[in-house]
Amino acid sequence: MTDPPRWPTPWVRAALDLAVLASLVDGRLHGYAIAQALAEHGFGLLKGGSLYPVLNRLEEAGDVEAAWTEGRGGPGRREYALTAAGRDRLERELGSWRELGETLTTMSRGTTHG
Amino acid sequence: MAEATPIPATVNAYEHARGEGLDGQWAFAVSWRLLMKNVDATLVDEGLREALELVRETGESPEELFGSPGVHAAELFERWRRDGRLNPAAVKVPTSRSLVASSLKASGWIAFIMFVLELVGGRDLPVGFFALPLLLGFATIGGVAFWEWASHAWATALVVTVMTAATVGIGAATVGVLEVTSGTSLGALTPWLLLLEAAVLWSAGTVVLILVTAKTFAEVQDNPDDEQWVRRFSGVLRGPGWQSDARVREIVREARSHAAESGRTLAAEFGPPDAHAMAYGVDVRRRTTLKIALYAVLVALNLVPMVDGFSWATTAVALFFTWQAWQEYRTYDRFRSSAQVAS
Repeated sequence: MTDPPRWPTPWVRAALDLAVLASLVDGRLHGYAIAQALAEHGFGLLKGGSLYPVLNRLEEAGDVEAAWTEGRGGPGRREYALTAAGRDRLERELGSWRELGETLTTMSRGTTHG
Repeated sequence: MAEATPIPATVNAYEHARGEGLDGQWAFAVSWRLLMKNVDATLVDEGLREALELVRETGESPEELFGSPGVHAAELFERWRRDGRLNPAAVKVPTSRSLVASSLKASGWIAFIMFVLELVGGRDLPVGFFALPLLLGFATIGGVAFWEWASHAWATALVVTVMTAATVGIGAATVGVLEVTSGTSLGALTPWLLLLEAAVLWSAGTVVLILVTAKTFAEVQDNPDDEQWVRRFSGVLRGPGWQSDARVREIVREARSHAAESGRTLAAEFGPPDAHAMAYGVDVRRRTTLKIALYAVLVALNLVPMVDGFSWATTAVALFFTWQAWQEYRTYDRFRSSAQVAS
């Protein structure tokens, strides 16, 4: 049983690349663990069909790197880690999101008209 | 066979919308990424036009409005997938009758090319030369059909080995036919008989083609089990110029590992195999390398007869293949640089 996403689907989609990068800040994770981390943070449980194309794109862009690790008794896993470029992108784009949030807050207060 | 689409015109319209050449590169990169995922060209054009309207209205750059080409292409793909607008049954094989028809038409074209070369070269050729268009036409179409089928079922190395063996065999058969008939020649009639042969073969191919109906390759089950899913998924991914065998194995292994942890079937976790394979699409660099390698082989094969002496016709054909290879590289380079500019 998993909770539905806390935000509208278009928002989740727009923030997905960044959310995946953020889930890797504390260290390497395999695909399923990334999906669980996203679910725990309110993004809803992403199915593999939605998650892996994103991971593939991030890997192609050089934002994450992947390596196989042998599973303990189970099948092997492909673990993903943030690269330096991915860390830079995360920082840069988080700044933009914050700026967007602040702008919306300021606008909603109705105090800036010039 | 690629159909004519208005995509180049739309890309051109991007360049003129704000007078910014980079906008055209952005549109080109988006269209290239979608076409490489086998998305229908009309749909790709629709997506480009939709964004073009906003670019015109706002005067903003497409990157600012929609993000990098990769991100926008992925968004369009995901939206169309959700809306059921993608046609994943893109992998088709022809029926045996359509293969015969295509082979006859290809033989007709080869006979016509030989006719032109004969007019220019004016050599005295043996009677066995008339069998060459048929032999080469059927070998070419048979080879393409075999590649199309085998590359979805076997490892690439095995397919290449079998194709190489077949090419050597056909080459030996060609030399044999010419050798056996080397004593007989049709003299001045040779070019005109080749033209007649071209017309007969091409007409025969057209007649057979009228009777043909193409059918789709291996229907996909509504609810495939894991093995059926993997067979179909890896088959689509192994399409010529898509993903390497090693990469396909890695993707499948990862999908199995994920499904094992989630406790769901591959179909439940990843959706229809064709649609998921399309999300990966082709490996652009790999496809370009394969095509350029193919043209290099064609140039080399074409230059071999020049050992006997210089020929303008042979040089022209070699130059044509070289130009094709250069065009492939330019398209790839344009794609790569536009992706870099926009990222």
